[in-house]
Amino acid sequence: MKFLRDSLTKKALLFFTLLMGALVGTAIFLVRKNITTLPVNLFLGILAGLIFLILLLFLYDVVWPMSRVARQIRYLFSGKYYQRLEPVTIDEIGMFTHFFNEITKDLEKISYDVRERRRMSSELDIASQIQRDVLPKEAPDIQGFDIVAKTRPAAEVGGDSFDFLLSPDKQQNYIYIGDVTGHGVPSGLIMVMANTLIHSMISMGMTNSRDILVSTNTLLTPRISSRLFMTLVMLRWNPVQEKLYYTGAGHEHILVYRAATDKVEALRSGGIALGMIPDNSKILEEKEIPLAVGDSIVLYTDGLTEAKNSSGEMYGLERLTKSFLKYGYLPSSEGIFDRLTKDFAGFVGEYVQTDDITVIVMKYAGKSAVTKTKLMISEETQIQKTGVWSWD
Amino acid sequence: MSSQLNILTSAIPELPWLSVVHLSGEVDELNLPQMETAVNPLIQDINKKAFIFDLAGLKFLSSRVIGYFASTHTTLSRTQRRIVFINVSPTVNDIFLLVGLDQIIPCYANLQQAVNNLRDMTL
Repeated sequence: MKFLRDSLTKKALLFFTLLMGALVGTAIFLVRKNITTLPVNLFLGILAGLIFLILLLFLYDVVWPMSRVARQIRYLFSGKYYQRLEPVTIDEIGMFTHFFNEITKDLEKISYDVRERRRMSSELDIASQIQRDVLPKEAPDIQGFDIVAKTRPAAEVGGDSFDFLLSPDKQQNYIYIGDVTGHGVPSGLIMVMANTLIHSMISMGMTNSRDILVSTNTLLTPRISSRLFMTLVMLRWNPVQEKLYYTGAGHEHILVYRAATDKVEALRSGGIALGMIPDNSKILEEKEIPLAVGDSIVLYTDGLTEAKNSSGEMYGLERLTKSFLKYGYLPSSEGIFDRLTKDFAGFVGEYVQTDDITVIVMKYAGKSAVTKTKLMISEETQIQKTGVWSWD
Repeated sequence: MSSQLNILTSAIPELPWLSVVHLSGEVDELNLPQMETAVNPLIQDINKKAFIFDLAGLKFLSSRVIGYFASTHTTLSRTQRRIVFINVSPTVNDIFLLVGLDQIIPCYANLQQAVNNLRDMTL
């Protein structure tokens, strides 16, 4: 019987066979009974009865299963509440019912995924906004320095950070740039933690940049995964003494353009990245950067030097240093920044940014000069996929 | 596009407590899992007291890989085990110096020097 019910064609054949069998059986029965004539009404009655029985069977086995699944499909398409059905036949309609059940299961999963994605995207937007809020909106004017700082994350949430801080007694200015391993939410969270800790240390009256970073490391290390760390370099400017100091925590070089000699010095920031070891007090030290009027400084994150062009070549420290040597003499930090960016964009071409990029350019114009600080944090949350790389 | 990374592991029969991992090519966040798959089983063997990473053919490693080495160093230190580097190219050495990894993981010029130092440390 199962063999006869597993397809609609076989069912049609079965119904036809039943009808023909009933007719032939009736004919044989009549012949055996020597009934050669039959009233038309009786013949039609028997035929109608047979057809009715077959129709009932057809309705029960074909039309009803088909209509119940068709109804649920209608509900699905019109956005009404639908339900999955137990297949009652093993023919094409049964398969169709099973297919409907599977497809609705998949649709529900896709719909759940879409909702989840929307939720995550919305949370990422919030995280991104929180991070932008952490980055400085405006920097205090640091007497004697003309400064431009720009950052562009590679994902919605970045691991790069920078800030400009003033000691409570307003006697010290701090400028730092940091880069957490990788990018994305985990890096962003560490960046926010580090930023908060640094703010706290300075607001508590800690003045030496080395002490600030040692304390930050002590509190940060037990709270982050041992695989994540943050490289950072902090500058401390004492406007009264006109002296600039730095403490490195495993960050990239500090580039200093010397106006007097027209040379660029690449100072190794030194130290060890924050979060790498619980106690970095024996490794970190604060050193002075002698500075003269006209000198410029570039701080950057490795997203700049590790960016590759279409041939897979890295931009590298050497190209950055050469570019800085060409433009370090320019009177404004914005001019230097624009030229450095142009050189970089020219090298990388249509670069799909894979790491956060942050650059700070500082020009020392002398204590009495009128200077300004300009910041730009990329509001772009869509990752740039095509076109020549740019800050915008 | 993931960079090409080749990993080979070897052992010195007379020093069963030691494993040598030879890395060549470039390691970044895309092929770091490949390195972890090769190295982690070695690290889980507590009879291995020291690991020498031969970086002779390594041209570049990203900050995530530095994080992996720092984390591996931390994990091994808890059980008085060691990790060292040998044959570090100037480019990779610059990266180690930059982030300060050289402050926690020693670098030696060659295998013999590393073995001598590790023997002193582990025995």
